[in-house]
Amino acid sequence: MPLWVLAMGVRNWPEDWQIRLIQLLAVPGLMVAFYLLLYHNGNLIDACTASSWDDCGKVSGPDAPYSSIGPIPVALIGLVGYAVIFLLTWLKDWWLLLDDYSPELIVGLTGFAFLFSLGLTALELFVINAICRFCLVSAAIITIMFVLAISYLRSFSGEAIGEAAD
Amino acid sequence: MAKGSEDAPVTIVEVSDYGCNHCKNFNVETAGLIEDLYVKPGQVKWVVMPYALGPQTAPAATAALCAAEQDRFFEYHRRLFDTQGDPDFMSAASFRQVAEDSGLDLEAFNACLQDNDYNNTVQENIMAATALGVNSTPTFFVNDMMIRGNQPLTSFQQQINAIVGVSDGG
Repeated sequence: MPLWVLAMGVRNWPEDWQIRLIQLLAVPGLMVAFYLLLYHNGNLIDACTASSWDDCGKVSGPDAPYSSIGPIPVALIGLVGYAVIFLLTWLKDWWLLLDDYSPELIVGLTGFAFLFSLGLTALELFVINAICRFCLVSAAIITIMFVLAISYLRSFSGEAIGEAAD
Repeated sequence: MAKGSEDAPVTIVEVSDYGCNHCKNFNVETAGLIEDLYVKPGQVKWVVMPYALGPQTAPAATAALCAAEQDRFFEYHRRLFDTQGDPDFMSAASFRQVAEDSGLDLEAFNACLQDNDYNNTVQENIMAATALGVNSTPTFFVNDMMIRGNQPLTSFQQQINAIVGVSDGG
């Protein structure tokens, strides 16, 4: 349990607090990905702005060259990714086998998502020469999730070692 | 650059950037409908103001003005949006290709491009649009009413009908 939690006097803080936070973060993640999917499909009216650096149209618009991987919109990949992360963190409470492997699975999933986001952000900065603030919000959510997942894996491994020693 | 009746009760000014995908979408999805429903019957005069959000797209606006010299502005305008997404769509070679496809006199067009005849006009358009509060594209002025973004046909219809209704009644 983190010291700041103890300092706040929070009692009964769940041992897998990192997983709960990841689950919580998946909700705004889903919302951002859904917004970007609507944007990609042209369901949201928008305009190009004078600032060349903040333009979701160039990044995720219907005609943006890097907004799809083949026929699959990147935003849809994000939406599915967040949904899988949310389901995994929820199902692990009910499915013991999943619970046993959940630290590795969540680190793997969020790690892949982190690398994917890193690649997309690099594309925005160095190839497209424009950024979409919603993509950056998604990248920030994924980064926090990945850090939390590593923290969970470390605490889980520590518990396992402790149990083995006992 | 204008088309439609000089006596039309409604004037719509379109401020577009040739590198803007929303401007392209508007021209593909809505501009033709407005032309058929309102410009051809004489209710709307359509004016396009070649504009650029930044220096990268200013040459395209200049090229469009070169096409206007040969009275082929609207043909060139539409075709220029079609090239959006091509890797070299902001190059002189691409502008010339669009000119050829639009049936322009290439010699005259090339001379106009090389002489940068309309650089100042584009800059004046940018300053005029900025003074009117334009900071994104597409932006439209339906008479005095500003409409921002790639709006659907119904948004224009509401404005046009309101103006025409007032004109008829008054």
